[in-house]
Amino acid sequence: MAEDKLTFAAIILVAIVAIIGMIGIMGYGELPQITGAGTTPSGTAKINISGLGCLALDDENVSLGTGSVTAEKIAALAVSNGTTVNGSWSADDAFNLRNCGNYDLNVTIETDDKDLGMTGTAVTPTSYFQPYDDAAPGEAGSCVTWVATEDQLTEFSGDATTQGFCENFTYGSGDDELGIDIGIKVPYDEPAGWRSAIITFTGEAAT
Amino acid sequence: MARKKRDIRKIGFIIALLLLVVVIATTGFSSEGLMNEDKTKEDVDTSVTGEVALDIKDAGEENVTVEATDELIMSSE
Repeated sequence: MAEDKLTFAAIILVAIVAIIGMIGIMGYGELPQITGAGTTPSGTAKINISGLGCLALDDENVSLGTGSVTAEKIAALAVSNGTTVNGSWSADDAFNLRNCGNYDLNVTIETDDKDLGMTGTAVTPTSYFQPYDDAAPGEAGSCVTWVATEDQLTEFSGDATTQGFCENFTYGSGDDELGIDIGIKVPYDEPAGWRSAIITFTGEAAT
Repeated sequence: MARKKRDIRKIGFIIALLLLVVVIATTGFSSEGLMNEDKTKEDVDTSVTGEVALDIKDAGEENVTVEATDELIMSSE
């Protein structure tokens, strides 16, 4: 009988020690310290921040404006940073992509129609993208690793074809924005009128 | 003697059970554990779309004579 009581007491003791240890390890607060009068109570406030993936396009509509191919030139290359070769387009308007989450993203780009529906035949109409973080609206250091060359035009490889251009697009305030210019090659025999394409940016959590 | 052995086994079992609870609690519910789990599980796939457009003006007869050998410089600079 006495042995039973001893065993029960031992089990209870082990359980108490284990529970106190568990509380200590989980960090729900410091273990109480009995030091007499004058002690200052303290606690620990904890917050768990969940991962949030977020990509925002602050300028959704990029217009290169109105222009034409220079006389006696076979084609023009109009770029949304206002630079045009052999043409008169001059609008300065870039896509402004922002990482509004709290972890790095790998970003890809695609167009639904790389020739914007142009039908001219003097040269093959096509389009390009040019990412950067070293000038507005980009913010320096926003892209850790460029997959497409920064500040250079890369041709869209096809319709609805995903192309990576930045790995580890960062999220910190002050380095979470990229600029993306679009370049369009217009043949001189392209009929007048507006041409457009939908550009899609996709972000996936960087590992 | 046999009873004593049984009791020791019982105590051992309880200790093992409590240790298991501690391990699960510290790895599964710590803030770091939760954040890591969120990040891998979420595997975010965020897409945004925009539109690019340009207007082509009719250049009339100006382009009738074209320098066929003219090459377009692929540079924005």
